[in-house]
Amino acid sequence: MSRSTLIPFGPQHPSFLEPLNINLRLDEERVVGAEINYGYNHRGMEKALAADFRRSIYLCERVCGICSFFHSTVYCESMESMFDVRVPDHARYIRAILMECQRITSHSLALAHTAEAMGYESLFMQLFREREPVMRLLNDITGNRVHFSMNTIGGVRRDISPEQRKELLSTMDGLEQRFSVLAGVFRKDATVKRRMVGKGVLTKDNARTYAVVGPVGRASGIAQDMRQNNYQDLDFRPIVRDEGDSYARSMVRVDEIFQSIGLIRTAIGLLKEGPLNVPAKGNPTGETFARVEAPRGELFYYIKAMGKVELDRVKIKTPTIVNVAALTAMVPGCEMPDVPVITVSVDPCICCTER
Amino acid sequence: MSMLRTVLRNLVSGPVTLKYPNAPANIPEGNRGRLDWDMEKCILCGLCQKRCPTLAVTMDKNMGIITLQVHRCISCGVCAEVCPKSAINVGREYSAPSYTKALRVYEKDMSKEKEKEGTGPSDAEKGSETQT
Amino acid sequence: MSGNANSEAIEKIRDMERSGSMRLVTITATDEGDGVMELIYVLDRKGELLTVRSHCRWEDELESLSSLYKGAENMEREIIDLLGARFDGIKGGLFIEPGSGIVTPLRKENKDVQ
Repeated sequence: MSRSTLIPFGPQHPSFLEPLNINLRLDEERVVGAEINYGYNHRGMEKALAADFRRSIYLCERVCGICSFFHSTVYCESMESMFDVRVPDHARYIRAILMECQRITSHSLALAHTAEAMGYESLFMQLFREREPVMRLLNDITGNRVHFSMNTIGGVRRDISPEQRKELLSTMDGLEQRFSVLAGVFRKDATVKRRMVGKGVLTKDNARTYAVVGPVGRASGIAQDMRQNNYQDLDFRPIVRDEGDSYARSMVRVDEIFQSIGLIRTAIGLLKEGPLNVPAKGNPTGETFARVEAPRGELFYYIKAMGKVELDRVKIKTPTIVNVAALTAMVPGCEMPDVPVITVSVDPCICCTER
Repeated sequence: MSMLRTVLRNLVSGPVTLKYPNAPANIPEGNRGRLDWDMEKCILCGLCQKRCPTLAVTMDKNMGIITLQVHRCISCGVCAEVCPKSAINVGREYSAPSYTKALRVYEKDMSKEKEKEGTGPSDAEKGSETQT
Repeated sequence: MSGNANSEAIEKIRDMERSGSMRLVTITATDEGDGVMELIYVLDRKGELLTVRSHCRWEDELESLSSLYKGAENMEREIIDLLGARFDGIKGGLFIEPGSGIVTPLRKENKDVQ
C-alpha cells in the first residue's frame, strides 16, 4: 500500500527567478502529478494600457524586461494597421536587427539559467560574459540596455550610424567564435546530457492539445514560427526537433542563436538610407490582431478602439501562459530533483504571463 | 580543456567591476541620461508637458517655472524631440540617486519679457535641486 | 450540450477542427455595456488566423472549451477573474485573490478601480 505526499514547490524557491507555485504529488521519489498556480505578480497592465494610446507606447515595453522590444513592436504594428500607414523599409530592417539582438540576449540568459539550475555555475558565468558586449552595443545604439524606447507609431526614432554597423558586425564575429566553444559544452558534456536527455518529455499530441508555442513546441515536432510570415526577404527556416525532452529544447535555443547571428549579418547588408518614420494623425478606430515571434513563442495583441484617445480593450496573449500549463504533462514520471531543471528548460517568464 | 584557457586568462586579469559612484562610470556614447532645460531658448509653449508619457513635467506659464519630478522621468526623450526651439538637452550621465522624491526647478526671468529696453541680458537660467 | 449561450460557437470550432487541424491562440472577452459581452475565439491554421465570435450576457453559464483543448482552461480562468463570466466546470481565483475587495476590474462600470 503506498501513500502519496504533497509537496509545494513554492512561490519562493532558490532556483526560480520569479514566483511560481507547483504542487507536486509524490510516490516515494517519483512524481505522479502536478498542479500549477501563478498570479503572484499581477499588475493590471491591460487596464492601464487602455488609458491613452500615445502613452501606451512607452508603457507596453515595461510588461516584460527581457522581451521588451517585441512588445513595443507588436503594439506599434497593430496601431499602424489601424491608422493604415505603411512603415518605410529602412525602419523595418532596423526593427528586425534589434529584435534579433534581443533574441540573442534572451536565449543566452535562458541557457545560462539552465546551467545554473543544474549546478554548473562556471558555465553560467561564461555565458553572461559573452552576453555583455551585446548589451553594451544596444546601449550605444538605442540609449538604454533593456527598455529601448526606439519605436513610435509609424517607424523608429533613431538610426544605426555606419560606425555602429561596423561595430555590430565585429561583435557578431567575436560572439560566434566564443559561443561555439560554449555550445560544444552543451552538446557533448557527459553531466549535462545525463541530467537533460530523456527527462520531461512532451509528446506531439500533448503539445497540440496544450497549444504550446515557441522553442518548446519546435522541440516536440510542431514546425511553426511567426518569422516565416515577416521575414520573407531574409530566407528563414524554422529549426525543429522531435524528441521533446529538455535536451532538445536547449539545443533548439543554441541553434537559434547561430541562426540569429546569420540573420543580423544579412539584414545589415540590406540596409540602405531612407526615412525613419511616417507621421500618423488623428485617433484610431476599429479592431486589429497582430503577432510577432518573441524568444519564448508567439506574442499576440488584440486592440479595439472607438475613435477616442482612450482605447476600448487591449488584450495581450503571451507565450508562457500556454507553455507553463504544459508542465502538468511533462513532469509525471521523473524524480523530484529533476523538476527544477525541467521547469527552467521551459523558460518561463512569469511577469509576462501575469501582466 | 577549453576551460583551462579561460582559467589562465582570469588568473592574469583583474576584476571587471568598477566602484561607481566613487570611480567614473564607463557609459557608452549614445546613452540617454539626465535631461536639462535651457531657459534662454524656452518659449513656454507647454508641448513638453503635454507629451510626457509619465506626466513628470509641470509648467507654470505666468511665473515661468518648469518643475521636473526626477523619480518619474524615464529618460525617453520625447520632450526633447517635440520641443520647437530644441531647448532640452539630453545628457549622458545618470541623475544622482536621492533619499526623498526630489524636484528639479528651472526658472525663466519673466521681467525680461516685460521690459521693452534693457541694459543688457541678465543670466536667466538656473537649475536647482530642492528636496521635498 | 445545447442551452448554453456559446454552444453554437463551440460546435463550429469542432467542425472546423475536423476539416483541418488547428491551434488555439487565445480566448478574449470584451464588455460592450448594458450587460452584453462579446467572446472571441482566435485559432490558427497553418499561419492564418481564424476567428469565431459569440455574444452573451454576464449571467449566462458558458460551455468550456477545455474538453477539446486543454490549454483553454487558464484562459477561461482569467476571464472569470477579470470580467466575471461563468464557465461550466472551471473555477476562478487565478489572478485576483478572493476576498481582497477588488472585483472584476475590466468591466465598464468599474472604470475607476485602481
